[in-house]
Amino acid sequence: MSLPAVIFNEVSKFYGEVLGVNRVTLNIPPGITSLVGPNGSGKTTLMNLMTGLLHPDHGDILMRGISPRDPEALMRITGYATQYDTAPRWATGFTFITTGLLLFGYGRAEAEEKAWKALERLSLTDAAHRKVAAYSKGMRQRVRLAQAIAHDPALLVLDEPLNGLDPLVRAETIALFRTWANDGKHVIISSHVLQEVDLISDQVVLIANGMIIAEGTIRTVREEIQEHPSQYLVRCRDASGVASRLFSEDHVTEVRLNDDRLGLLVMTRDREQFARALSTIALDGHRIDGVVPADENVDALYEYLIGDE
Amino acid sequence: MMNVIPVVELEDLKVKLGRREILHGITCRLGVSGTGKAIGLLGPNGAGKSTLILTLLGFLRPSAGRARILGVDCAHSVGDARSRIGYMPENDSFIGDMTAVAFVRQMAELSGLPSEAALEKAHQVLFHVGLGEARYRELRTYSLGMKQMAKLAQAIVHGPELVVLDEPTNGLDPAARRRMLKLIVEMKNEQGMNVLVCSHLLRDIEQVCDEAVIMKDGAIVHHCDLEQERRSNRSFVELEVTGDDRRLRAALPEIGAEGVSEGFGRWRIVLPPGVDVNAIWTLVGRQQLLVRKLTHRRDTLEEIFLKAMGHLAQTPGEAGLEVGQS
Amino acid sequence: MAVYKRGYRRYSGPLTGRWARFLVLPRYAWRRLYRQRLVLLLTIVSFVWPMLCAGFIYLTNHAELLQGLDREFREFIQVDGRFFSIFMYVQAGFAVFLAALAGPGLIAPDLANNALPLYFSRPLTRWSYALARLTVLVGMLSIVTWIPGLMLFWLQVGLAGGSWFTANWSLGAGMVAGFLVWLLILSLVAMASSAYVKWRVVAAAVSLAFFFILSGVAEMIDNVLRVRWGHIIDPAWAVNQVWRALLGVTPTEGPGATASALALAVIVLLLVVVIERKLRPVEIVS
Repeated sequence: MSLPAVIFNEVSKFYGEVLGVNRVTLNIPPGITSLVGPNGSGKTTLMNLMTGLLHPDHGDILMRGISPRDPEALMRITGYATQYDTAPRWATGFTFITTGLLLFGYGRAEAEEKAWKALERLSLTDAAHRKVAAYSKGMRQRVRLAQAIAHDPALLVLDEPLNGLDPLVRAETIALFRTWANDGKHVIISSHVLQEVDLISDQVVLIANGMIIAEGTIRTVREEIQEHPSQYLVRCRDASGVASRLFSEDHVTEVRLNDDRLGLLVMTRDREQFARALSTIALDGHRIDGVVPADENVDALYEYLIGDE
Repeated sequence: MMNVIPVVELEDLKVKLGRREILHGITCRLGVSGTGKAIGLLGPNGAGKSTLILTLLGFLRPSAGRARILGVDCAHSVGDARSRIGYMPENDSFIGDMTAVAFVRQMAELSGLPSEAALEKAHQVLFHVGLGEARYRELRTYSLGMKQMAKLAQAIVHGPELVVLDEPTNGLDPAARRRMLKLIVEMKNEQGMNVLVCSHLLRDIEQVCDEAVIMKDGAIVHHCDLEQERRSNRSFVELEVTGDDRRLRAALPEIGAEGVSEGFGRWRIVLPPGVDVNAIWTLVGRQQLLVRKLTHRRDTLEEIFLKAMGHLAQTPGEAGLEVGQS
Repeated sequence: MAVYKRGYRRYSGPLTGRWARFLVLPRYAWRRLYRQRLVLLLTIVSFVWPMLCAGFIYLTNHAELLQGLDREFREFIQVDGRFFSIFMYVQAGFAVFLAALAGPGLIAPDLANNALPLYFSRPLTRWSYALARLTVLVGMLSIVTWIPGLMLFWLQVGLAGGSWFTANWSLGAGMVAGFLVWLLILSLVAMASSAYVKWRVVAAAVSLAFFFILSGVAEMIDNVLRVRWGHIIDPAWAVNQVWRALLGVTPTEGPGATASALALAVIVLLLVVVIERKLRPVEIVS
């Protein structure tokens, strides 16, 4: 237990009758962790609980060893960026971040230096002295991120941080998260863009209806769902021929022909045996143009576990 | 002789916002009227995408040059141009105290539908976008995803030939995103509409669009035909294997191919003309490796985009062209 | 047996013409207007005075009912310019409150959630949008002003005969014109406050405050600078001057009808400019 972790223990939060989260238990190691779930599933509640903006009705929380009931200690190591456009419009980007840092207790010179560094990391130095009101949506998003990272927090909680950013800035921001994560920090983000979550996350937490549905690395989560067979898309010329060969394999549970008769969707219980069988079929002269695993990604996990509400 | 009318036609278009020139003389032809296709509009912030869309809608006047939609000039025949468009703006856009049906119906009538037809279409389109159960509720009670769908509904209720969607999947959760993309594909394939999609999510564009236009600093820097990129480009192979693949690189020339490893068993291979995919299977089998993934793909939209922005000198697909000319 | 696949299909039928499309907004706004109970109530209450005036007209035309009254008094009770000017004065007051009540719901809902781009992405210009909103207000206010006024006029004509008409037709025309000027100003003020203020109650208050404040400022100017022309900026006063001129009643002391009319024209122009600035489909932030 040497690595600091984010720990939730049977945490519940209700707003009167309205459900926030119900019996959440989590153990999140450092690295990039993505919170995934439909709107209204409890992601924002979870983030508010993490940063101490809300207190749970039941259960306890430890953020890298610090309890959210000790906000002064927690906020020193935490940077939080909400999904709402709340940067004050009257300030310039620079003053916005500097003021935040002054509130932390940094001296003016140090605050300005840190603010500038944060703005540099988010490529906002050109617009730093313009009023936030004149910023485009993407720039407002970036200035909020800059404010969250300015005091070098060990724990970043970011609600949809890549929303509205163009592809270049997205890539740069993701690289920033990666650097942070490699330094042993916690980067907890919520996102709806599952393909991105796939690429950048070390861990995923799937949440729906206020409850945690799955937690862990993508591969381990997938492996744990054994009762659901793996899916593969196979492109081939002689679809029916290949299909009949596959049917004779034990591990294959389902084969579906594409409308264009040039492809198959195959469900199999054993990935390795499937790969061997396919190789044999190809070398026997059936032309296999392509093979793509259809479900080893968060998208498929999401669809299977949470589905189309 | 068939007269081909492009969906969007720009002729040396210059547009100013205040005193700054945002669009610096753009010329291009996108889409073909009569065929249902989706065109992606990409670019970093500040590239001029919104300015272009606002010009097409007639909200901004060109300072020079022309912009035409389906053959109609956007500045001189604004009414005519607008009657052929449906618009879904990026920001929140609705009338809080109207029910979805009343809202969509009013918009349909404003677009020229007779009152009863408007009511009929309003119901139809609200069911179509998945708001059937909620259509008698006031729009201010809607969640974000539902508001996006309502915005889409009002954009297509009058059956326009061109639908302009600005960041349609913004803020949608994965299920709603999938539904939105499916609706877009349906609009172009089954309803025969042309769709102009402006988005930052390259994967959405890749999934849905047939053409893509990349803008930077007020000019168009690249115009690619995604359909062509998608058509199985036999020479370029993306391979993922399990097992010890250290000797694969050295073994590739045996079949005349060249390849580069991306780590974790992932490879990009270029086959010479005349060599087809069976050779890969044989080779992989000989190396005692198992194939996890095999696809034909030249360049991802992301790579094309990065090259257009100047972050890449060449895309991997272009680099590979030197080996096996296709 | 047949299976019908009925989903959404693109509309491919005939389109309505420009006038029908122009009327869409007024139709919808009209429905929303009268759904508000206060508006309905106030409209009904506004008919009380016209009914009293109708009674009055009946009385004056049936001399036998006035037998017992003083001769001078009987001359005082005539249906003339003064009568109509009093009628207008009262109804104009009701109109102010009605406009303040109905105005806020007009443009504010469209601006509150950025619905203007949806309107203007259709074949609809800013001017037709504004005009459509204006016609709803003017229409609603007409119901309590010159329409009952005209009815009173025709009642009088019916009872007093053609000779009265030839002598006094200008009263009818003057009343209608006078009311229309007032309605235009009321409607523009209501539209402007609805365009700039989101909350209904505050927008209503602003519409009313417009008139009270200008009236107060006019008084102040007059008293502090000891002049008479201060009243020119008070639209209620100015419009009253114009009415008096149209109806042939002696004007109050101060600037004449032409000066008042000019002042009103300036106010109208300013209001139009102020409203135009808010009706842009896109906000240009430099």
